[in-house]
Amino acid sequence: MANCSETIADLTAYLDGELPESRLGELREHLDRCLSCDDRACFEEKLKALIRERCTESMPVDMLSKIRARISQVEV
Amino acid sequence: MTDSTDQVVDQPDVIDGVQNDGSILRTSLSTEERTRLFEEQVVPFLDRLYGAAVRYTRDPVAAEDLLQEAMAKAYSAFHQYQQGTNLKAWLYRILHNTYISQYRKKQRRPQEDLQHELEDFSLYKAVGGTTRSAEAEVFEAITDDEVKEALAELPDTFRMAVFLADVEGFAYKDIAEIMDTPIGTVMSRLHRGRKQLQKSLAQYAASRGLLADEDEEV
Repeated sequence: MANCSETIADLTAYLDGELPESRLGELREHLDRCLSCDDRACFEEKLKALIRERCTESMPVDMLSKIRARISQVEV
Repeated sequence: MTDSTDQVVDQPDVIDGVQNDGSILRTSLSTEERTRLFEEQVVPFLDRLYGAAVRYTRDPVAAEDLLQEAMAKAYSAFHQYQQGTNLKAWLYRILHNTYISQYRKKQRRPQEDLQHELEDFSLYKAVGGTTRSAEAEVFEAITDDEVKEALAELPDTFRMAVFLADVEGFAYKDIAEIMDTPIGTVMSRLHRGRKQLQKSLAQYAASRGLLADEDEEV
């Protein structure tokens, strides 16, 4: 059974989808039982989602035609 | 991810090389085939790649040039892309390399580093014993421009690592390949870059009175 400090240390890798399979069970079990670690995990997860959602751009409308024009000049 | 040795290639007429690992490398593509594959496979990624170019260059005009240049390279190298492998990572690697070789050199700036080690900063702690409503208020208040600005303030290598992981969702090993750097370096850049990013976000929130000012913190 993982303790709080082990769980917090593994949290980044967990949220990045990089935690080894062998440690997943223990971490999830801890999050199920520990409100404060679960709270932290939810916060970090939401923050990650926020960064992703607030960082989008729309391609200018003429960008695709510029790219097509550019690659038509490429000699292969 | 698809194992390259398991891939099925459906255009046997353009295959003329089998590599040591049994995977197939195209060494030639007709112009028609190249254009068709580019339209089918690369064009769907352009929106995201444009976003990446903007984050890399921090300038919409330079981003257009970078994306055009990178796509010209991707098009001319498309016979080297192994069908069935991670195309998104392949395209980002080209974008990354194009940026490094063409744009960063022009700036003639020494490789920047983060100025100081942030002890153990986290936005979570700054929001402080968070209640769900305080947390929601801070997240609600942070604008798109602030997130973009906070990323833009990070030195190149940190900005790229954080962008590739948090915005694009790449695995560490893909980021290592895109940036041509060991995984350990990726993880350290992510760790430090994220801390700095959270620090900037905390400052924006503090400037609006949503957090206790740093100086007032004990």
